[in-house]
Order: sequence, then structure tokens, then C-alpha cells
Amino acid sequence: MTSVPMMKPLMLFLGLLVLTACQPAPKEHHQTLLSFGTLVEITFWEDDKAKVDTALANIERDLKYMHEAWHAWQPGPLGRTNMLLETTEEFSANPSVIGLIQKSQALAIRSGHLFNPAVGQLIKLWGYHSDDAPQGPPPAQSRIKQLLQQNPRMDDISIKGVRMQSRNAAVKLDMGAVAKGYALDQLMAMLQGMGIENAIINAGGDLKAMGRHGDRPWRVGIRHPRDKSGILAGIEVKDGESVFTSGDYERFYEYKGRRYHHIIDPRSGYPAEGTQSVTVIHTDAATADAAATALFIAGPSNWQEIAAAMGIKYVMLVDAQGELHLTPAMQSRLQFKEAPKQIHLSEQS
Amino acid sequence: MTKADRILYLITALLLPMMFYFSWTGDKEADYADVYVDNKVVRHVSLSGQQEIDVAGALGHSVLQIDHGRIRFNTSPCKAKVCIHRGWLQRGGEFHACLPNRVSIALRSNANEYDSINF
Repeated sequence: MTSVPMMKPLMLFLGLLVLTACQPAPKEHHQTLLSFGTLVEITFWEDDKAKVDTALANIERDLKYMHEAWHAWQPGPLGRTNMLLETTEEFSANPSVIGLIQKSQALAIRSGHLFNPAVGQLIKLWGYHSDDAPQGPPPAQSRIKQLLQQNPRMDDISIKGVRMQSRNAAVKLDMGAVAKGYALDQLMAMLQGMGIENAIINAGGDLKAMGRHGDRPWRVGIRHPRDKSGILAGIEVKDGESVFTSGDYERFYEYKGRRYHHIIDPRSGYPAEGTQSVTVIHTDAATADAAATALFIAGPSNWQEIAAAMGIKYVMLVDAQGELHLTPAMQSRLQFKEAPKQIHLSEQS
Repeated sequence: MTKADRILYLITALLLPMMFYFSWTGDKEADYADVYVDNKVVRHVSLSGQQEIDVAGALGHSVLQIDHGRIRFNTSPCKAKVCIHRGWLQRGGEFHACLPNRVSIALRSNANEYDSINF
């Protein structure tokens, strides 16, 4: 009888087939939230569904609070702060804005003021203080020049406890290039406090991760700056890392055939040129957020100096010709979908 | 072990890696999408075939178009039409929203190549 001995391998085969066909255990949980002026997607790898539900409620509540506190053009704690900074008199600031402003001061100085949230008037002049997309025309050169001459910077602000003062009436804070990162740092700290170990929060394309996706690291695809459906490269994200990208495709308008994007160079007063996108990885999301903007503005010629000053090890810059500029550390982590046509490696290790 | 046993072992050894590959890895397009209104899932739709889905949002009706594994905002009551300009989405892990109409879509796959997309 050969049928009985054959049963063993057959059963083994069928058993393994069943195992292979199994779906992953329902540990992965997703939720998207319209909040913070964008779409936020949260992914958990967690056994305890009740804990996930509590965490989601906390995230939604905290995002709403932070959005209202740090909004650049709607009334709220930051709006009040801006009104009082303009007086150049000393005042007591709302505690909800102090930590963010102090963090931004440190980052602005390290970036050589290429990350400069004090130029809110300039951002407003370009039409980016509105829920509607600006249509153009671009602002008058004379008006831009006038704002630049006033030279508002983060070190114009002094803070002692809750007392705050600006020595420059032109300072108007716009935290658009740091608030998202700072918020993700706060949210992840909150989740850790709840005992959640594995999650990704992606706020409008920028993300922070902790832990792992089960028995493997979290995997993130970095979108191609000129192909909305394409992935430029994939990356495995380590526990606690943030991945932030600044791109000229995120918010822009076209006027008489020319594109005017939202990343304004505080030195020229015009949209920064020479770069399509910059991707930065760093454990501190606020730093990653500010650095992505600062390195975009620094451009292909000067980004290395600013990255070193800001302590950024992982950088990918896509220049206006579509060529890649990478730190060697970043190159070692990227898995390209297609071989890039040209890579310029920095000397930074 | 008979000859038949050996053949079965061989087939198993050859097939298992293939089945694992096709089940859990690879460049996966999305299988379905979760449709949200005001942060609550209102539809869980397969992306196979062709269909249009009418979703009532805060401003009015958004129409989502599904076409053989991809999905897009086809019409929208919003002013700027940013949601429509985004075009097709087809990769698990992608998401997009019409912020004014409070309608969002998140694409899922049974085996995402990426857990999240950075842009």
C-alpha cells in the first residue's frame, strides 16, 4: 500500500498551503483623521483594540488642540502672540505656544535662519495664509523688498518663563514648517505613555514611527517628486525615526506659465529655486520638519553645510534636473525602484 | 520513502516559496479602499471592476470613480478641486482627502509593499 505513506507528505503539503494562505492576524489597525489642516493616517500594530481606540481618541483631541493653538491665520493662542509681538512690548504668552517657539528659535539659529518662522508676513503676502489655493499674481517686488528690509528673525524674540517680547515689530510667526513635526513628537510621547509600542503617524505625507510592524521594520515609500503615482525609493524606518519631505509640488500656483510654490526663501523673498524635494530622516520630528525646509532653501550647492550644522545624517535632495544628492548614510538605506540617472554623494558620513 | 513521496516533497519545496512571495510580498496594488466622512468609515469598497460611488460630505456629494484597481475623486463640490487634481490612487498605503467636503479615502492591500507613503 503506497497510499498511507503518501498521506504524510500530502498532509504536510496541505497544512503548509493552509498556513501560507492565512491572512495576517488582525493586529494592524488603521484610521484616517481630517485634522491639523490635513489628512492624518495612523497605523498601529497592537493586540489590544480597546487601547487603540483610546489612543485614537487622544490623538484626535490633541491634534485639534494643537491645530487651534498654532494656527497661522485664524484667531487663537498663536494669533494673539503675533498681535502682542508686533507691539514690541513685553507680555505673558499662552503656555501652549512657548515650547514650540523655543524649539523653533534653536532650529532657526542652527539652520543659519534658512528655516525662519518669523517671516509670516512674507508667507501671507504670497497668499499662503488661506484655506483656498492662491491664484496669483505674485506680490509686487517693492512689497517683498520692504518686508525683507525689516529682517524679522527668531532671535528677535526673547522669552523668560512665560514673559515674551519682540524687539522687531515685523516678526509674525508662521509655524507651518515645524508645527507638524513638533506635533508628531508630542503624539508619539503620548502613545508611549499609554504603553503603545508600535505605530506610525503620517500627517499629510510626513511621518514618525515607533517600534515595528510585527516581526519586520516599518516600510515607507518615498513618493517621486514628479510622478504622483510613482515611488522614488523605499526605506525601512527604525524605532523612533521620522521621515519628512519638503517639495515644490505640495502647494503651488501657476501664473503666466510659471510655478510659484510655497517654500519661500527668507533671503530673496521668492520661492526657493534649484530643488524639487528634500527628504530628511531624524529621530526628532520637529528637527526633521525644519531641516527639510532649510535644506530645500539651501539648495544643491549649500545643503551639506546646513545639514551638518543641524546634525542631520540622512538627506536626499532631488535637484531641478531630477538628479539626486545624498549623504552616504542615506544612500545605504534607500532601496530604489529604478536606478537613478545621477547620484551626487556628499562627503558627510 | 517512495518515489511518489520524493516527488511530493519536491513539489512542496518548489511551490511554497512561490506562494509565500505572491501572498506576502511584492509590489502590491491596493485591493480595497476605506472611504471616510468626517473621520468615520462609511464604505469599504473593492477596487476591482468599474463603478462610481456617491459620498455625501459636509458641502455636498463627492463622486469616487473605481477603475480596475485604482480610485480617484471624479467630481466634488469643493472650490479648489485639489482632490480631483490628485488623480488616480492605486497603491496600498496611499491616502487622499477632500478637506472642505470632509471626505477621505485610504487604500489598503492585503500585502502592502509599504506601510506608509512619504511625500
